Amino acid sequence: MAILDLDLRIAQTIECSASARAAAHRMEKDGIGCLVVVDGKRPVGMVTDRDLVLDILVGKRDARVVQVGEIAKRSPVTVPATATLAEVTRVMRKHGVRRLPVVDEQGELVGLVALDDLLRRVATESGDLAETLRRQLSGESGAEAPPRT
Amino acid sequence: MDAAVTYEKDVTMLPETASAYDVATAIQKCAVGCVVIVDAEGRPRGIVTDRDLAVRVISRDQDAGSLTASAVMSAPVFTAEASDPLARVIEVMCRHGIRRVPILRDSRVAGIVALDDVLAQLGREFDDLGGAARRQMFEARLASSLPRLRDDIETRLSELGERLKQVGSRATETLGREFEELRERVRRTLQ
Repeated sequence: MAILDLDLRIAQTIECSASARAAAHRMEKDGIGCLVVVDGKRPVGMVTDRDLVLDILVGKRDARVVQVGEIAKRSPVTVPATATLAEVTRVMRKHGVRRLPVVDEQGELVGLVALDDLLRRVATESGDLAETLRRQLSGESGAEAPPRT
Repeated sequence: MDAAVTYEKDVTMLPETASAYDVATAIQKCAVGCVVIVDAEGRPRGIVTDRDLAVRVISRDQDAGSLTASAVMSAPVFTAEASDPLARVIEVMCRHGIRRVPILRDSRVAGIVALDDVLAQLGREFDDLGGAARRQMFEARLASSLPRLRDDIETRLSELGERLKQVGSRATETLGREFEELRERVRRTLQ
């Protein structure tokens, strides 16, 4: 199953030339913890509330001057819309992130996939699987009985 | 049933007089997501997360050097006792919509339990359970009682799936207990 079959989150974006303060303000206003930094339609990175704190407060930099494009990590990790659930979790584990921008074949942003959504999905799937198995074993719902040998 | 202490980690603490800059530095140096603000006796007064700093300092254009921790912290702090079961800690997280719960010993902050650590541990247990279930099925096949056993295991797994779903969204007090029961069951059957 490709992740495009999931309900992807709408990615909240911010232009790379916007200030760190503008990014923090957006996060506060929209109640979110991360923004996809874009150059036009192309994602160039991600910035989280934590990234802002470490860069601006610890680095003692001026949030009104620093651009989010400077804070966002270079060569952002993205996943294609055709990626499977297993591939997405592997990328998340490898890079230690909870959210990933999802891009189409042209590299344009189509949404955001979050670890919390995947967890819920896996829980639902395992429930469905168990239900199907139980029905087959008890011969319910017109399900075809497994061939006997 | 697992006790909260099984999941407890070291906690980073600062006094109320610390500045927002001190908190940010501690968050970076200790590689943590929050700092618990305590009084002179070590009792919890508030908690400051990295998000609190982004919202209350950067977004509002405040000076991190002159703003005190008590001005940016969230209070009151929702805590659990070291003797509490994990289910109680999860309940506190769900009820208040938080991911981290400081653990108290004699009213003083002694550690912290984070949802991520709990989920990681549950994931490992899920994995263990899968392995145990496969072995159990293999043995059951030898004993020709596969359908009943498989049905039983799948029912339990289904219930477990439901519990996991709830951790992601709403409260479940019985999650830890269910897991423990299930593990015991598999363990007993395998003996």
